[in-house]
Amino acid sequence: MTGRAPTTAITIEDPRCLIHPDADNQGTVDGGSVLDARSVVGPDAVVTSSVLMAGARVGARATVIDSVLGPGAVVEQGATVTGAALGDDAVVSAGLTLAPGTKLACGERV
Amino acid sequence: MSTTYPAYERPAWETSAVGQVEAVIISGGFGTRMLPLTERHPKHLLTVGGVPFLEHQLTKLAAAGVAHVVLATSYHAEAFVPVLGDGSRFGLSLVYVRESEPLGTGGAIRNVADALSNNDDGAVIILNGDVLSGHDVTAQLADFERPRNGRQVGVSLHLVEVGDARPFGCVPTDTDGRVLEFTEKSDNPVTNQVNAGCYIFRRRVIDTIQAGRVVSVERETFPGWSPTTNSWWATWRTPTGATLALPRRWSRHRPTS
Repeated sequence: MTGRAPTTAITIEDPRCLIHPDADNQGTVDGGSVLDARSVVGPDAVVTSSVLMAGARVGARATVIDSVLGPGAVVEQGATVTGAALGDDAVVSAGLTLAPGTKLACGERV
Repeated sequence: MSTTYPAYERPAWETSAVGQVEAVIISGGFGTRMLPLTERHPKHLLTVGGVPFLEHQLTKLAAAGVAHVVLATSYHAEAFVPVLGDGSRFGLSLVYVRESEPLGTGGAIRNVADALSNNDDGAVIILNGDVLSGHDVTAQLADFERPRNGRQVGVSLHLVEVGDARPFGCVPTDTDGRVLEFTEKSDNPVTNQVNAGCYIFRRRVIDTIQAGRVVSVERETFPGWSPTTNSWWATWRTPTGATLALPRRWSRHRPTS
């Protein structure tokens, strides 16, 4: 949640992604997604039009679309979330496909 | 009704500079519609474009020449100071006033009056802490300071024109930009102008809001000012659209496949 003074301008419709220098992206990130500090996208994972807040992690071969992952939230390997909002430290177990629009409370695990 | 921290000491410019611009950011909302993301954080500190949302507003206010900002906080009030500090890294002084209970927009504005200067003629920019606008605050300020028929403007409202005004309360104005009324949401809106959440108040006007109770500026304060006496109203209109300021260090790239 710590920040730094913003310095450059971009329109809110801009489809470019934002990758924090401390993020680890080994997958495919597109659609204007934002990867905050210490977030991780594993090998062959896909993140589209989504926000990964600080420390959020997406496992290998997982898919995240139109979703927001709160700080420390985890989508484990092979899972799929669409239109979801995951609270801080929430976990989606490996291989699970969440119903579109699902919200998980902070610390909740499914 | 409030706790001010850190201990507020009036800066030297308050007694030496006339017309110094101050600002209030209303940041007390619960963020209910953003749950679960706001379960542990105020929505105003959620990261947008790489930095906490309020940093965009503070940067914009500093660029407009604002020297002193009061943050009206309530929900998770303790979370703001560690992130935003005393405002020095934005080039302004930042103080926090905590509501012990939610007072609404008008109540929140009135509640921070003691943390503002005593310059009755000063301009106070008031932002809703969950709205980011790309409009030119400096231009709105200049317009605010332009007398109307020899009278000083008391309140300026930023209005934005939207394609479909049905989800919003509307603000029709006359040809001089004076507010005629505030209307509730309607299937047949009388105008496509809506309140964009950025006001400029003359300092003394804030003291006219009743203290110590819940007050909504949109539903109570503004509608209570009669159109026949609102020669102090000014409005600043812009089309929709906004820009976000983003951190330079972050990489920006097009889709990889």
